[in-house]
Amino acid sequence: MLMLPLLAHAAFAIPPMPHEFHGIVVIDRQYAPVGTLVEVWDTEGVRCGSFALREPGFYGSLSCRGDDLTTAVDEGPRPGETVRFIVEGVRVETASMLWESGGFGEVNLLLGPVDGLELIRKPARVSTDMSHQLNRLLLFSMLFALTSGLSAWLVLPRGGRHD
Amino acid sequence: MKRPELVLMELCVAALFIAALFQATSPELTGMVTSATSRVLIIRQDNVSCNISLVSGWNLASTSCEPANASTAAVLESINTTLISAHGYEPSGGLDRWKAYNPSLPNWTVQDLVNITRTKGYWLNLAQNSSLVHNGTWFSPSFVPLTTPWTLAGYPTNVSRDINVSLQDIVGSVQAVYLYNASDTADPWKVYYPTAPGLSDLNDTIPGFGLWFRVQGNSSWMVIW
Repeated sequence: MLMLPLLAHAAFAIPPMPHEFHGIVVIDRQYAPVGTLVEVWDTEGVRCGSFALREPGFYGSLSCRGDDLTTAVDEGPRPGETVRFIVEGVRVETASMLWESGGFGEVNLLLGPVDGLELIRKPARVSTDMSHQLNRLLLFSMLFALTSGLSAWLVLPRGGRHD
Repeated sequence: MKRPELVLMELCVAALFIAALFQATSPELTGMVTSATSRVLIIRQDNVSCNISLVSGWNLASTSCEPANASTAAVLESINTTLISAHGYEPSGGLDRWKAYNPSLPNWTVQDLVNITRTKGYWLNLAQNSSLVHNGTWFSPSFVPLTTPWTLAGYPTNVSRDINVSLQDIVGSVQAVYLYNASDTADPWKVYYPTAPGLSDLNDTIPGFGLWFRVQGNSSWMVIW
């Protein structure tokens, strides 16, 4: 764990480094489009950073600034505080992510139907090659859709008249 | 009594001699007019290889010379295998003042610490002890911009100085200066309060270390090589 002893001398609090986040953004099983806004908020309702997607499906590095402990204003999270992710105004459930000055975190944001997306939801943070993960995610999604369609075709009554 | 033209000639010869002498010791000279009163500032510069010793964990570092290739990846290439992350602070960055570089992030992430310069300090997080080496140019003097309230400044010289001497021109605007010496594990933070020397334990400005300045009012810190 990266811990930075920032506040050894307390006459003035040295500006804390932010926590940097990155990951994929999928909305309704589609890559989120360019311009999609990703925001990070602390538990007290302070927005600590945001990022507008510059390429479909990927965000970051998003800087989430921390609280300056010498001011009365709450500028952002304190060390150990949980942060929340918002995509286009909608909160996204993720694994618990604690703010840490100077830390980096990979958090994948999945909005909309998530059936069949367990591969990257558990855990939301993944540390292996992102493109590989994304390809597996999309393949899994397609297989799920095919399976669902096949099931529906088998179960539901098909054409023909029943007098 | 000498004739005026002889005196003038002697002055010209003396000036040429001094210029030639200076040219011999410092082959590259540049100059600029710094005010409307035609004050000329001579800045010495030369090409060198810069070396900074870094330890495992967090380092508050700065480089004494201006990198020949200022891109972050190029400057930090010699420590790329041990570097976890590098962070710079832009006082004018609004709500996004911190800029970061992490060589292990996927290539699609936007890394906003683009350049490294001698007038700024940086947090460097390393997996093990390393030496940062890069080619560059030293300048004397260098001017380090200090912005209220906080600046993460570089110390662009290879000479340690008593902090009272280093800051004598700007001490009126400085509230505090912090240095982080990771090698001193018992007490890595050193601080200098101009108005409370009894509480200060930062005695010298040291090459290779970045400095956190807390200042009132923007100013420019002149650092001599």
